Amino acid sequence: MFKAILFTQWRWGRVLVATCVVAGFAIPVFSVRNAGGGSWNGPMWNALDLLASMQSYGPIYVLLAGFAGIALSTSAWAPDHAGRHVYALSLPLARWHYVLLRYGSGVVLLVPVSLALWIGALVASVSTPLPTGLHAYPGALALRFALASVLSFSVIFAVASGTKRSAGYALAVLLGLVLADLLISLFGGTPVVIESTLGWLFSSSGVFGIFTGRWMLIDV
Amino acid sequence: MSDVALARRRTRRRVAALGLTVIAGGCWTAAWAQSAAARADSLRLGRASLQALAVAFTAARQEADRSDSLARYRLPRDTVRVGGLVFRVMPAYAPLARNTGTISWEQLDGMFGDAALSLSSHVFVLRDGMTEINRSQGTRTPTVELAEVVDGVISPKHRESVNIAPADLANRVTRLATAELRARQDVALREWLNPMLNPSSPAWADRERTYIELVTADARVSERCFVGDLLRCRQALLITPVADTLSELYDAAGWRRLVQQREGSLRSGRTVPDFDRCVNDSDFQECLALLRHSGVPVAPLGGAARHSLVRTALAAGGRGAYARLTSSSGKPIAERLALTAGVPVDSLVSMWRSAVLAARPVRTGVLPGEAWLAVFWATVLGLVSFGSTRWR
Repeated sequence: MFKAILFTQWRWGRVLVATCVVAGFAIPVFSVRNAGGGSWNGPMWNALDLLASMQSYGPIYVLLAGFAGIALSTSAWAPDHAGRHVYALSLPLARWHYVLLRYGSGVVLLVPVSLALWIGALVASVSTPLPTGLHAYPGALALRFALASVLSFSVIFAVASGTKRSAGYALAVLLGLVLADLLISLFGGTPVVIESTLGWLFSSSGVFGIFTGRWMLIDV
Repeated sequence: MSDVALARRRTRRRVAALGLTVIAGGCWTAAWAQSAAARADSLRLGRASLQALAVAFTAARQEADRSDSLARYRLPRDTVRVGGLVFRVMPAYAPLARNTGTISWEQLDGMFGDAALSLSSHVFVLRDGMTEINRSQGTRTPTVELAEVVDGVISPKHRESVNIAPADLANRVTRLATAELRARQDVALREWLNPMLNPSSPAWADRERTYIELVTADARVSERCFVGDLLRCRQALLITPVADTLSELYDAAGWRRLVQQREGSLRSGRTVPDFDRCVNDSDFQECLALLRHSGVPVAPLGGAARHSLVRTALAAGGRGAYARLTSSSGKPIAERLALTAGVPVDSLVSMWRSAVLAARPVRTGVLPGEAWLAVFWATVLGLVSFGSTRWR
């Protein structure tokens, strides 16, 4: 049964997976093009310049992890929503079992993306002469990427698996936060609800803490 | 009449004439003396009145200057004071000035201590900018201006358009205030500190950058400093003079890396073969010759390292530390820093080194706690979705 679900999900999301695989391989390789003996804009021998360049690629890894997770979770449920969940009802499976198969298939499809990023990072590390004191972290970067993409997949998967009503609840919570800030500012206060909520979500102990670390292929 | 009588008579006449002359001279002298005294009195009176006139003129001129400057440079009515910062603002910007002042004063007071109070002779003016876009769109873009006020005369110094966000405005105010304090530093201190200290930037940022510089620097001296050689730290921070920077602070591999980093300026025209011999053939003497010939300044550590040292000294020295730093001009920088911190220079450098080593950036690696937390939340969210209903 898992194979069948995995196959259907692969068919629905293969373009997305392929795109993410290519991007995952290309980004680390592209990020070191000017390091050491690179040639496009002249070599970058200075360690601080190289670190700054690596840092500037951090948000791109974050975006790719978020995009891969969100896109695959959406594609996992889109045909079910389009078919009004008749397919799920027709299967001799408990709901939790069906959701588990979908979830597992989605996570499996994220594996090639993380693998591509790891291989790209390895290629980039091996091909770059590093200045003194700097090291490459291809494994750590790929692990962070894998965890972040699974997390973003899980968030949207949870929202998409629910009914319109549950999606409405999630939206209502968001609107509630906006409304709270509006009320606070109407009464002359400083609106902090959204800021503090986001601050907690992206703090080291928050839900999205994995997104806020150092996304650097080369670091001290 | 005998000759004797005639001689006596002639003598008497001479004596009488001499007496008359003496009397006349005395009278004339007395008269002259009287008139000179009168003239001196009159001169004294004249000088006093002239002095009074000059004082009145100066006061009038100051008043005129003040009036002129007030007319030329109309200050907004509202005054907001936060610590040593004085803002003159349009009423609409008073809350913004209070927020800005609080943020900015915290930064300035934290770094300069009591010396920051000297900024009270300046006013920060906050008002609407008069741009065409503002006029046409009916929007407001505040400008911040710094003006010096001496005896009521306002001398504008800087003017900048700013965004409305208090943090952004605070950074501008802090920068303007720091530039003002920097202008009072002696040349030696200013050149050693270059670029300007930045109280808006957190101290850990300077230390973290210094850590990266220490572990990635091309200079041998930085490596020695990293492992605890305080003399090398002082040399790397340019507070202990060295006879020849290149040969004493760098090794042969360091010369080569310095040349590599300066490819843009060192590999051009006639120097191309020299550059290639240095970089490609590892001809280290060629590297040294190229660096000496180019005269490019080399410093083992950058401005962040020197700033972090000064910040360590200021933090150790308390509120009067910055005043001690600026008032000790003429002495070597190392001695000035020791005076600032109130501890011997080696202790200060040791404190600095410990702080820098503690500022090692968090590694790129994923911490176990971080990974488990992500797995936990992914599992929780997965379980939430397992509880969803199949009925729509």
